[in-house]
This record gives sequence, C-alpha cells and structure tokens, in this order.
Amino acid sequence: MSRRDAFLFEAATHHDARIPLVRHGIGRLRASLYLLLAVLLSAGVILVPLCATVVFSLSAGPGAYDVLLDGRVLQSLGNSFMWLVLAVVVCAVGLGLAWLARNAGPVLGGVLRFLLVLPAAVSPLTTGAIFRLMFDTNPRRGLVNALFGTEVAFLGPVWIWVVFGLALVWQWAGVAFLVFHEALARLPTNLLRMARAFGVGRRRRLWSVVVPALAGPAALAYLFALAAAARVFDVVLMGAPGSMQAEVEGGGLFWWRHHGDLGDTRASALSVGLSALVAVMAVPALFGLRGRVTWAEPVVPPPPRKGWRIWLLCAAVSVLWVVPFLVLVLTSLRDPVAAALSGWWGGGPWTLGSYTEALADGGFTGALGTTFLRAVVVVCLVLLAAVPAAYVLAHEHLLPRRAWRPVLLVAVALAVLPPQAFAVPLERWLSPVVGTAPALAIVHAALVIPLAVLVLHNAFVRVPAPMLARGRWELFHVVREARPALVLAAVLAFVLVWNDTVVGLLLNWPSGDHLPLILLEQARHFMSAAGPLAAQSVIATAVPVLLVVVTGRWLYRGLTRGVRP
Amino acid sequence: MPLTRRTLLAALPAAALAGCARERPLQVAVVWSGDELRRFLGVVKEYGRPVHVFSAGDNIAAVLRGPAEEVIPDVAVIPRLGLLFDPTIGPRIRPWTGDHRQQEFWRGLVTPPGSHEELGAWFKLAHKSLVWHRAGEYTPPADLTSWQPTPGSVAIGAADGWVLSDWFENVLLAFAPEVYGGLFPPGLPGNPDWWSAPQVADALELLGTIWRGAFTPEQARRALTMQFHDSIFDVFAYRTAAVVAAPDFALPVIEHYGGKGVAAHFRFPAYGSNPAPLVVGGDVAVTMRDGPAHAVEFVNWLTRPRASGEHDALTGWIADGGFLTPFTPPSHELLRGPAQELNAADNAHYDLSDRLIGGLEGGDGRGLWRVLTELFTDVAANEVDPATAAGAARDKLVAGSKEGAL
Repeated sequence: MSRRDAFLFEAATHHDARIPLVRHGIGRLRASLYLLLAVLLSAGVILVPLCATVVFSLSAGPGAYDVLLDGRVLQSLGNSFMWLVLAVVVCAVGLGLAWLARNAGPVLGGVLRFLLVLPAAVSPLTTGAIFRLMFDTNPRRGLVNALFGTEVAFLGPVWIWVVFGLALVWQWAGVAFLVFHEALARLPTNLLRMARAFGVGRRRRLWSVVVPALAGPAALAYLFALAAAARVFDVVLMGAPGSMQAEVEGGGLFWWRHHGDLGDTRASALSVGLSALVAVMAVPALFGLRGRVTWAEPVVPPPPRKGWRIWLLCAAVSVLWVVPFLVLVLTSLRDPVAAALSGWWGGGPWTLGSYTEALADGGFTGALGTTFLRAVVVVCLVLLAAVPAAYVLAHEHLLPRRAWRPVLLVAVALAVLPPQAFAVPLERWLSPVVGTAPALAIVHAALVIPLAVLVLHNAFVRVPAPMLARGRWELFHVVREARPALVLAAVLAFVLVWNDTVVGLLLNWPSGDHLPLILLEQARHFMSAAGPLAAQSVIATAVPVLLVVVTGRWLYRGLTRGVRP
Repeated sequence: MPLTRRTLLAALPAAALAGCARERPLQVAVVWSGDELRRFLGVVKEYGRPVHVFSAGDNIAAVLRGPAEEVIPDVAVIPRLGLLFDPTIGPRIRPWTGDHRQQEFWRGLVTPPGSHEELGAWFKLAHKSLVWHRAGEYTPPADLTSWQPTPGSVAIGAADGWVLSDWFENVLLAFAPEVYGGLFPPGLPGNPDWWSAPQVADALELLGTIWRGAFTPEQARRALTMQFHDSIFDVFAYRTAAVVAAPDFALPVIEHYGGKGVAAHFRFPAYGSNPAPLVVGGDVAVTMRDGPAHAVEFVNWLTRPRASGEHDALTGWIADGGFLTPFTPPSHELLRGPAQELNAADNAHYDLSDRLIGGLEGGDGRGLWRVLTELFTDVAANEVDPATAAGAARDKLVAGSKEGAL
C-alpha cells in the first residue's frame, strides 16, 4: 500500500512500509520553543476565551441555558441546522459531479476542477451579492425571473432557502468535487472486478467496496462544507433582504444581533449551545475519519471517454459555474443608473462609471491597501508560527503517531468552531487594543494557525531527511522540499483574511478599514448601489482569484502531495 | 499634553509610518453610505484640519457601545436619538457647548430629563410624514380611514424595517397622539407601559387593514424583497405603482432615477379630526468625552447656521434636496413646505423606532422592525385577519418593551 497522492487532510492511519525516515533527535526544550508561538496564539486567542465562555455561561447556574428554549433562539438554531443540512447537499452535489466526471480525462477533468473550485476563493459576501442580483424579484433586473418570464419572489419567504442552497452549492461543491474526484480515481477497481466475477450483486459491491473506500474522503468533504455552513454569516447579511434575515439567519448571526440584550451569561449559553450543535453535526465526519481508509495506487487512468455526454456535462457545469461570475462582471460594466434599474441583458450603456464611482470612494481604496497589508502580515505571522510547530510535530519521538489524532481533532474543532463562541471574552481581554491593526492581525493569524499546522505537518512528514541536511539546516531543507504545502498554507491564510467579515465585525468595528466591511455597507441600498457594488466586488474578488490562478498547480500539489516533485 | 494610553496608541503607528509628527485626524463615525456619504465627505473636506470619516452603518450602536474606549470615535453623527440616552453611550457623550442655539423643540429632544445640558447639535433633519406620487396623477385621500388603496397601487419597501416603522409611526401618531406622546413625554423619561394601551392594538389593526388592501399575497411577498429605493423605482421609474410613503430625502433618489419635475407629495393623511401626524427624524452630531478639544469645534463648525448668500458644500447639498437643516431654508420648491412644517413642529414627534433602546431597538431581524415585518407578512402575504395579527404584534411589543425581555 502506498500513500502517494493521498489527501493531506486525510486522517486515517496508514501502514507506512517505507524505510523509516531517520530524524535527528531534537531536544524537548528546543522543541517547546519551536511550538511556543503557535501554542500561545491558539491558546490565547481561541482556547482560553472559549473556556472562559463556558465558565461564564455556567456562572449563574445552568439557568442561563433557558435561553435555548426561547422561540426566536430556537428558530435561529433551527436555521443553523438547516444550513448544516445544506452542507450535506453540497457534498452530495460534489459526489454526483465527481461520479459523472470520473472518466473525463486529464484535460476536461482539469478544466472542471478549476472552474468548480474557483468560487471557493470568492468571499461569501460577494456570493450573497451575486445571488441576490440573479434572483431579484423584478424580471427587469433578476436574471432567473427574466429567463422564465415569471415574477417569483425568490428572495421572499421559503424560496430564499433555495437561493441560499444554490449559493452554498456554487461556492463549496467544488471542494467536495475535488476530494471525491481524487477518491473515485483510486477506487479499488481490481477488487470490484473480482467481486463482479464472483457474482457479487451490484448493491453488495457498492456497500462493501465502494462505500468504505469513499467514507474517508466523504468525511473530509463534509468537514469542509460543515466549516463553511457553520460560519454562515456574511452571505446572509448581504444576500437576504432585511425582512428575510430573521427567516434564514443562523445562531451565529442571531447571537451577533442580540448578545447585547441577552445579557452576558445567556449570550454565552447561546454560543455554547451553538457550538454544541456544530459539534454534534461534526460527529459523523469523525466516524468517517476513523474508518481505515487506504488510498490505493491510482489505477492506470482509463482512456478518457470521448462520448458526447461527458462534453455535454462539462459544458453544462461550466456554464452554470461561470454565469455568476459573468453576472457580476457585466453588472459592474454598466452605467450605474442602468445597473440599478435593469439587468445586463438590456444592453448598455457600457461604461466604467461604476468603477470610477467605486474607486472615488476613499474608504474603499484605503481599505484595499489596509486589507492587503493585513493579509500579508497575517500570512507572515502564520508561517512564522506554524512552520516551526509543524516541523516539531513531525518528529515522531516527540509526538508519536497515536498522539497525532487528538491534535488533529483539536485542529479540526478549532477550524469549525464559530467565532462567536470566544468573541466576548476575547474582546474584553483585548479591550485596550481591540480594533487596532496589530490586535486584529494577531487574532486572524491565530484562527488560521491550526489549519496551517495541519497542512504543513502532513507535508513535512513526507520529506525524506537526507544525510547531508541534518542538524541546524534540516528545517530549511524540509521547508524547501515542502514548498507546495507552504504555498497552500500561505494562500489559505491570505484568502481567509481577505474575505473575512465576521472577525472584522466582532473585533474591528471602530476602525472600519476592512474591505468586506466596506462592501457590506452597500447592502443598505442594494439595488441602487448595484453598479458600484458589483465593481467593488469584482476588484475585491480579483485579488484572491488571481492568487489562486497563479498558484493553482502548487495548490493542487500541496493539497494532494505536499512536497515538490 | 499629558501622554495618555490613547495618544500613545495613536502616535506609535503614525510615527512609524510617517516618521514625523502629524496631527491625528479627528475620527468621525457616521451611518451614511453611497451618495449621502460622498456628500458628507464633501462637506468635511472644507474643514481645514484632518478629519477621518468612516461609515459604521446600522452598527453604529455597537461602535459607540464597544468595550474599548480608546477606539471610540471622537465625533459621531447619530440618526438614532435613543442612543444618546443609552446607559452605556450616554455617559460617554460630552454635553454640547455650542454658541448657536437651535430651536426649542429640537433642543428638548437632545436634553436628558431633568438636565439642562444638550448632548449634541442637530446636523440634519428629516420629515417623515410625506407621501410621494407622480405629479398630477393621484388625488390625496381626505383622511386615513378613507384611504383604501387598491392592490398594487402603493409601493412599500418592506425589506427595510425602518420603512415599515415609519408607516407605523405615522398611523399611530395620526390615530392616537396621546399614546405616542405618552411613550416619550417631552422632558420626562420614557414610559413603556403605554405599549399595552388598547389604542396600540387599534392602530396596528388600522395599519394592517391598509397594508392588506394595498397588496395581493403575491405582491406582498415581492414587497418583502424590496428596499426603500426599489419602492421609489416602482413609482417613478417603472411606474407600476402610484404612491410611496417616503421621507423628504426620497427627492434626490426620485430625481436621479425618474427625472426632475416628475414628483409631487402630500402630507400623510390625518385620522378623523386629529391633527395631521408629523414624524420627524434627524442626525445629531455629538462629541465623545475622550475626544480632543477641537472635536467640539468641529461639531460647532458642522452645525453652524449658514448666512444667507453663503455658499459651501452643505448649501449645495441643501439646494440639491435630500437635506433639511434647522437653519437654512431649502431652495427646492417641493421641500420648502416640509421645512416650514419642521420648524413649526405642530404635532411633531421624533421617530419612535429611533428612540427605542433595549428589547425593541430596531435593526434588521430585531426589535420593532421585526415585529412590524411579521405583521406585514401576516396580514398581507399570509392573509391573517388584521385584528388577530395586530393583537399578536401588540403582545410582542409589550413583551419586547420589558427590560431584558427575550
């Protein structure tokens, strides 16, 4: 069995039959120094405030948890549950697409992978704006109503769930697709062929061969979707009309609106309850990860099928995934008044007026620079903390394989945890400096570090330690060999900070210099600001998308292998 | 100047970046966005000293209540009067010591009960009891009971809670001015007991009846996705609806998207023999306690009366409409009447939803806005009987007005 091409996040145990890598022993004292920054940041920003929240919620006895029985709280928790269910839909769509495209061949497969994953780099805020534009009630402006010649209130009661379901699928199904696509390429085909030869029924084959082989990747895809669904916040703020927000807002958004009037203990109780809900929903993923999944050597790829169906599928998927981008770009290129009153298919006047207007807004251009600077600082901080930590964790004599699982679980839990769970104690704790640029950068960095350690660790353990690069130069050697993972961690950190709304809203209000927060202001008059909003969104989206495009090969390699060829 | 933590924190990055000592810009928080924000920036540019304006939008309450006093703005221009009397924000405001006196009615609004110190100065006023229509195409109703709009004739941007709350305030003030006055009696603390008065339920029922008549269920669901500007488009750009109840600052939007000279307005109808309602709003400029001394100068400069014949960015804004001040009469013909009404302040009451704090405080998905959104959905989209829906809404209001209710 080999681990080649296994996914980095794949959490199963492996039987590693290679010659053991000999690593230089590293003293415990030095090891703890390497870990210091990462542990300090994660503990200080996430773990300790989280514990404080739990203690706080219980400080007046369990009575504070009555808040979970309030009608409006229940409604918001029910909405949270709906969002988490949508995460399953996202995975199902990803699996379905991967299944349909399993024989697409390297070229078509590559194109699909690229188009489907691209929306993951778009901020949820922009996604909300795009889908609100597309599903506008007025057929003069809403693409979908115009196409079908109807006047359905898609953003109104009930239908809005469909719109948000589609938005979530558009944004995250690509990641699930990527995971399943890799997994399907490694289905144990020999075993399947054998089973068929022995007359094992179709259903039985599916149940005993295919399902176990897909359980691990499914768990992984589910975790990604869950993390997105659990943190749903900005997509609702931007995508839902004010009247509909209570209908779709999850516990996180409800908490943000009401934690002032709930009182400290009850607000803490609500955030603990919300975290518990997410944790419960994450349990199936842990079962999936526990299963012993092996990544078989990818079978010799079957010759790409040249059937028209594959082409049709690729064309349809490409169109569906590209249209939202097109809507945004075309809207941004129209005259602002025309963009407010009619859809882009109405034609011109095509101008750069919206861009002029968007860039004339000093707040926006200022925020572009500040946010970029902030993202770069966070990337540096994250790498500074995560590289030594991951390097130390890769030393098996310090942390045996068995102990890796709890570390992984903690990292996964931190990645999925809604920030509301630790925001209030953190805000108090940071209160002398909250809202200042360094404080915000540190918080952002702490939130990304667990994920970065995860990515880097998995790559570092695969770097063979050569005889010549022992000792003090070993770290540099490892980092050089694991460059793809390094790029992946850096890009993840950059995109997460660039697109963040929720941390900015919770901790950055006074300075208001964060790009998504400036975009969010446009939601006050969404339709009349359609042109400038689209222009600002295009600019804000171009940066992470370009970054992903430029580093695409590295990212893919970082995600699947971690080390350079 | 003594070196406080605040100045130190501000000075460090500034020194690091600029390498030389420069005046720290005055931090000014506002709620506007888009065109209004651009206009305000134009006004501020003429101040001569560095000013950094940032928009906090509907979250300005969170900014002013924030735990870190060091990052609270020096000046805030607040449209929500209630925040001045908020237990957290109130003590952080430095009473205004300006040299120009504003009108009695307006000064009373910013003076805490039992005090003689005004907390701020009015920068901008708003007349919220206007109904707009295309000139010459609509006959105003004689009074509120005879106003029975046909389905589709009234545009309401029900996606914005404040649009619904303006409707409610106008109907309540027309129908039962004593309740409106009782909730926030001039010069006295507010009295939430009035929420349980039977007139509240009656006013809600009257409101529900008008809304129900004005929409079919399908139209109501669409209205729930429409914002304030969309409702103006419906009347003046698409011409699918006949009237829209909107404040004076609708005028620049109308002229921008529908053309000049197309609009006319009438006062929100009175109820029976009661006086016609006049719901007013406005933005009050306040200085925060920790701000530098020249923050007060800035507020004085911002809210000062303009001499006749004086031309600056503010008078330009006034001339273009969408901006009424306590001092300068607007040049736009359509706004002169409303400006005079604001000065006379007959049966004038400040926007209720902007005075509420606590459980009924407005905002998307919360407080009074949410109750009224649910009322609108019930009567207009779900065809619930207006009396039943009004009863339910009143219960929610009573529950919300109690402290710590939730």
